[in-house]
Amino acid sequence: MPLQKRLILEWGIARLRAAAKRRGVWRGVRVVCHASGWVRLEPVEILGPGPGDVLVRSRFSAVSPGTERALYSRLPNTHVSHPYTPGYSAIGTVIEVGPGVTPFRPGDRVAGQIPHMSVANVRADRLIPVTTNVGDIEAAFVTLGVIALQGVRKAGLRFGDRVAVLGRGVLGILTSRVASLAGPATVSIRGRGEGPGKSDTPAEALHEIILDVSGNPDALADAARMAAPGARIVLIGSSRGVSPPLPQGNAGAMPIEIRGAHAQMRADKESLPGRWTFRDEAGLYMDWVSEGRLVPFDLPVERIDPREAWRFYRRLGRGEPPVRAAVFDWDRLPDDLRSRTTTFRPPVSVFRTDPQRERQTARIPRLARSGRQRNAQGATMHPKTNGPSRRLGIAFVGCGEIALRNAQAVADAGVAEIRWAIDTSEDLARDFAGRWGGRVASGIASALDDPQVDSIFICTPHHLHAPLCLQAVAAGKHVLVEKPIARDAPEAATMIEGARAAGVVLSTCYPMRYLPEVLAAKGLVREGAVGRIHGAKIAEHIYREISYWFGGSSGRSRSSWRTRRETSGGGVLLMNLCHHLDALLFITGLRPDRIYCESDRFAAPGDVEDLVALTIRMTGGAIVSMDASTCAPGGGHRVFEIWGADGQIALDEPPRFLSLRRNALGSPNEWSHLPRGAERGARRDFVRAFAAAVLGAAANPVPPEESLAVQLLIDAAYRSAERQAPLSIPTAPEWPADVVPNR
Amino acid sequence: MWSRIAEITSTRDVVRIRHEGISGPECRLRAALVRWEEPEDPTRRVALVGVAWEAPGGAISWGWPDVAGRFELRTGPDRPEVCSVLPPALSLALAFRRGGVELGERALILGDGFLARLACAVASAVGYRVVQTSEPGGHDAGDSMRADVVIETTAVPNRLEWATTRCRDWGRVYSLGGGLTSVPLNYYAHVHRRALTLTQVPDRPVLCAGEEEIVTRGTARLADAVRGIRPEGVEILDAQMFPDGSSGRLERERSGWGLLLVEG
Repeated sequence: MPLQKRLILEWGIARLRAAAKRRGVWRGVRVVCHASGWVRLEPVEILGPGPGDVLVRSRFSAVSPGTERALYSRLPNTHVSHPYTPGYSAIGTVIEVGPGVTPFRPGDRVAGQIPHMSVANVRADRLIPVTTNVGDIEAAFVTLGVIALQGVRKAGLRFGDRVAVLGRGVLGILTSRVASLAGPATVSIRGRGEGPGKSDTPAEALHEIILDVSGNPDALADAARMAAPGARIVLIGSSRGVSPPLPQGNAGAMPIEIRGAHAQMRADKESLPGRWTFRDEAGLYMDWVSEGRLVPFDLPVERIDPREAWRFYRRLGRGEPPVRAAVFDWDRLPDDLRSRTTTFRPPVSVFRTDPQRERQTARIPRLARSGRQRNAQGATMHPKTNGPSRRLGIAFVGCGEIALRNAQAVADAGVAEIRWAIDTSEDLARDFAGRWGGRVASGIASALDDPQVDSIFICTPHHLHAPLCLQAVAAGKHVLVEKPIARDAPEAATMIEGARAAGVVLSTCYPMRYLPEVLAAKGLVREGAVGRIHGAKIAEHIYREISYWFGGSSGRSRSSWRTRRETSGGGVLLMNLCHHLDALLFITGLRPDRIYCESDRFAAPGDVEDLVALTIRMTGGAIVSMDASTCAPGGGHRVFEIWGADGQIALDEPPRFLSLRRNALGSPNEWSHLPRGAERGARRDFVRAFAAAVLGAAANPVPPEESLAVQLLIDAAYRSAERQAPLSIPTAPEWPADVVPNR
Repeated sequence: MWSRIAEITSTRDVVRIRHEGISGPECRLRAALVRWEEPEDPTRRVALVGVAWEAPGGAISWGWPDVAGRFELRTGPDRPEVCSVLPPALSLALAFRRGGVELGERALILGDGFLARLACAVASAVGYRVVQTSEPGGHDAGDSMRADVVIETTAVPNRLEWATTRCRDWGRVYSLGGGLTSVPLNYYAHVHRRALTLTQVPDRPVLCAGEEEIVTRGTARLADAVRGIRPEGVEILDAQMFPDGSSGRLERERSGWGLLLVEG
């Protein structure tokens, strides 16, 4: 659910509940993790305290680096559903107490199980008063102290025991210090890789108690090697994975106990021997800290501004630089943001939360500033304001379904005029001319002789692209060709050579490039908002009725050319996915390096594939996964996602992006909508750009070399599918002797 | 304390034990508890777990090997075949003692081999109420209620995991037969989060400080408990003792445990 809707819903529910329960509503902010790797500060409204509850205004909330990193990164053995608010240990001040709460009064300093929220309702038995001489930071770590105490208690540590603590994090240090208070002979603390060697452990390195706070599933083997006969290994940190079998040899023949000491398993209402309640453990922690017997740790403590939570969690997830001891400092927030009683005013917050408004106000970086901005190839992006000075004469060759859409684009562009409608079917040509104008012909010769024709727009079956193009360029005409450029790369290369020799413009109609979201995506990638590209996922699944294969979507032109590789060059990969491949290369600027393809025909007639799956390794290391089909009943499944080190772009519906960096289109760490457009406008802009290129006002909008790159990729995919092996993608057409072209 | 050294080798049909004294009088080997770690291959990884000797005059001594293969001999409380099965029983009894036993707690024993039968006997002897099951789906005390203690004796993959699920939170799981060294386990899910205690019980006792006296005091009681429990022979192997040249027969169970009895 969009955030704004959710906030309004929560706003309404909070007030209904408040009215029903005769309690007030408080407003504050909290850290929310919405998905793995995505954290932000959000407004929250909570009811005033109910029976047994205490409303606390947080001062510092301690970060438990191991647990919070595991949850944020969804490491193994984490069970959390998004969205959630992390954190479980904080200090604050009581604002209000619920009925039946006697130990606390407003203004009291308290610490306990409080998440990363500026204001929170907490059960009274999860709080403890903070003694005056205990510092805020020490008190904020009270829950970690409870975890350490509980683990040491579960170990049954006795006077004279040798104790080893595995884990040098804040909880490891805290645990070792708590253990020292139980009268052991020695306490040693070890970090990762500091366990004993693989060989037998010398007797002096054996321990009666090993406290595993590492969270590392492999640490158990080290613990077993350090175990004296009858030793107790206590699991205090939650291990993130499956532990391998304990080592054989001496450790395997040793009587040892492995004890689980998860914080959730403490006593709930009343302390029992070996199993204390949170309040009793927390009380002990406070007493010992107050008496100076326990100094929880001596690490420098980072104080994090909650508004920088997203940046902090990013670092925590990455592990660099490592986080040892940190707290969120809620004092850094302005008072009105931090906690206040609320009114019936709906939530209009300081946060960008309204997708509709974001969509309206979203700007394309750099593009909106000037109509003269050019895309990667230098073509004019707003040719309306910078268009050619005279109208281009165009002859349409092929008057079927796609020709109608392209003719509409020519008309919309307002920079060209249709002079010829050419088709072997005279009826089609006549119909086309009736709609869009132009003279009718069944062959291309007349148009090529016409000096008013500047360019030929080829909208024929694919096998005719190359011969028609070569005829046109030989006559000095510029060529626009509906995608794909040809059936395969060698044909495309021939066309390019011909156009170069004739000095004319050859361009492929890939209108996706001119969709506003694609242009915006390219701009974001170019300005580094996504960072280094790591991967992309593209899926396009539709259903083609059998009639499509013999007449297209409209049935306008009856022919079976789509069903035969000889005439079409290929199926869903060549016909449909070529758009996405071109857009991907256009946006990212990456080039494909290696490909593996599986394809097959399930429902399509003839010999073309209707299901294809590709894995592509790009130069620079990015991995692209693509799948498409025309045989998915119901169809409709579309995905187009590109992500990198600093963000993600999704071009499926609705087009959106998230960047962790400051960027021209939105706030960092917020999902923002991209401007979106329709195919019709994109085709129009493409025609304008082509006209500008022909008239020398701009560079070719879709250089044929880039279409060739797409074609090389597709050819390699088909070869990979035939060979059932990954293949390198050549940079120029080359046919190994043992491989025949697609058809 | 007298001590001896002994080692065992095995072919498909014959086991051979070479033994000699380090200190004390020359003794005859009378019974031995033997374990093959790979039951399907009797030529590999065979070990002596418990051995009973008869001293001149008929006194029975027994012991188990330390890591160097040396046996410290103790006075036998019973017949040789009973004394030879005492080491695994004692190892389990000591594990119970270290972990603490609440009288009347329910102990579920998983397995149907020699170790399982031994575990039933020892668990009963220390005050547990015992239910034995051979299969995860079998009838047990935990159908409607989880057991306080689960004793896993099969060392079969997944059984250890199943054993933890049959144990109540804060309960104890004992792993006999080397399960912990042969099976990976998600300790977070099966032990940590449920505050279980998972105990590795070796085949042979490894004594902690102060336990020597416990062994001396408790052996007779333990011998009473395990009398009559032995590997059930599905296969008979010849046995030869060196250097005295005596012979015997070994009854070997499918689980890999075998009991060797020397004739005469």
